[in-house]
Amino acid sequence: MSLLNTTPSPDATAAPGGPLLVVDSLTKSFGDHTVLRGVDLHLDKGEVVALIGPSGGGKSTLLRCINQLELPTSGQVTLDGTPLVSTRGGAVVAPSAKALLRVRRQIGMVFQSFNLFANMTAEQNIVFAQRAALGTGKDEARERARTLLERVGMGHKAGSHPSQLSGGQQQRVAIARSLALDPRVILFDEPTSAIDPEMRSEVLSVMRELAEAGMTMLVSTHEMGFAKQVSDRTVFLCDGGILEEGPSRSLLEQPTHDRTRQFLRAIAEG
Amino acid sequence: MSDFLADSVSWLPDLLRGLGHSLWLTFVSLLLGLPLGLVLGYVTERTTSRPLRWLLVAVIELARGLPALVVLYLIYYGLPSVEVVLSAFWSIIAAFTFSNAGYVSEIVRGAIRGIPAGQLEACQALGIGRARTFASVIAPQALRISTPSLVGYAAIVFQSTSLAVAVAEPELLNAAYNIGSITFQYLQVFIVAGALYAVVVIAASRFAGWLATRTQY
Ligand SMILES: Nc1ncnc2c1ncn2[C@@H]1O[C@H](COP(=O)(O)OP(=O)(O)OP(=O)(O)O)[C@@H](O)[C@H]1O
Ligand SMILES: [Mg+2]
Repeated sequence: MSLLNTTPSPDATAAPGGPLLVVDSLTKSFGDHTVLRGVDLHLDKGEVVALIGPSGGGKSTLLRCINQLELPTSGQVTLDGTPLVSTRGGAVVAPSAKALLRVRRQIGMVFQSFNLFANMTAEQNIVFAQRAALGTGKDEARERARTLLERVGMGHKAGSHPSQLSGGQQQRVAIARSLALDPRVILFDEPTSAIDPEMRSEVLSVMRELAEAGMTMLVSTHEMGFAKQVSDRTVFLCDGGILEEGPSRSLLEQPTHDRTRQFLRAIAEG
Repeated sequence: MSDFLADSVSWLPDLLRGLGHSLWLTFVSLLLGLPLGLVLGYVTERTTSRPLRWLLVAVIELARGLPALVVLYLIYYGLPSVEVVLSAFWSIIAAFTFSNAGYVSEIVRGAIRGIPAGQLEACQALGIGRARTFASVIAPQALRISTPSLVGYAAIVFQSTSLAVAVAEPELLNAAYNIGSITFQYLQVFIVAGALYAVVVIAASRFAGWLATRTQY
């Protein structure tokens, strides 16, 4: 069963105009603390990329710069050829509120802490997102919410508030909420880190289905199993830069850098 | 003792009419002060403009710092000298709304800080505008968190409506005073009036306490 309402055309990855998402020489500093020092990254349509690396290496900051939750210090992000970062005279400037909303509606984001609206049920979360962001009509929004909840296996909890759901259940609702806006790409920031280990697989399997349905995904994760089995490519981000990247299996099984090897060993030892 | 009871019963209609008016003053000044305080608290808490924040904090501190009676006198006796004449009723409403907005905004600011920042980030990430975020995510939760405090505060507002006696507004204390000046039974009538205030305030704080146990979703 497809999690998306549109199945990608077979030649989707050969889309004209190059990759769907391009991160170009992105830097980010907080005051004089430089967190990202020139990151280059691209995702083809339908590609799933795992972002791994030590804590504090800048994974969250990179994801947040892509959808402009943080204003990059320099560099550019393009989505399907459209630049997302506003610049004036070569310098990054805060985008207009309108431009920001437009960018963010096309880029889904799934957070480590789920961030469902506590005052709404699972279904209301998804209905509200569509109505507020896209102006979808009530009936259409509700129908889509029901369908998406079914698809993430949460149809039976449509009327529950987040406080009545387990972490894994909340995260599945959050994924459905993100999908409801039909994003071009979804960013996941350690989507299973705040979930009890025995509940993680329910979220990972939803993500795997999404990947199989052709969704473009950039996933910051400590789940090496997911990275190896689901992601096409793995990127190792360390000290604010990409140290190495490559097809997931080869990078995870035969890393070329000592630093990567060290990191993978530390993860394996838990 | 039975005289006291009989007298009290005979005063009750007047006192209850006064009580009704006290409650009405409480209601109207909160009706205006609540939304004002909610918006004031939200803007103060969330604005990125420092000058604006300082200005609003100054307004809030002034509203909370000035005794309500001083504000009432300023409006009722002071403003006429600049050609602004308000009736006793509207002077009271204006004065109370001002201090209510200040206190409510403080309560609301605390509540807004209690809403997990992640929910606001989720709104940003979904491309939901600020007004919509405020109306559907922040305001309902802030109100829910602050309802017990607001009910407690409403009880204090109700008590302070007795200040309206200073401009001869026919509220509960005024009614009691009038009865006293006719019967000279000041002691008894103020005991009865005091009991009426206490009943309302105690009921309200009990209610606030009960609400506090059920603010979870
Ligand atoms: N808003 C901020 N202000 C100042 N410093 C920040 C801010 N956000 C992140 N940082 C710093 O940026 C660095 C990278 O943080 P980031 O959260 O991106 O790392 P991460 O790779 O996601 O780590 P983790 O695996 O722990 O989530 C850290 O040193 C952090 O302290
Ligand atoms: Mg992180």
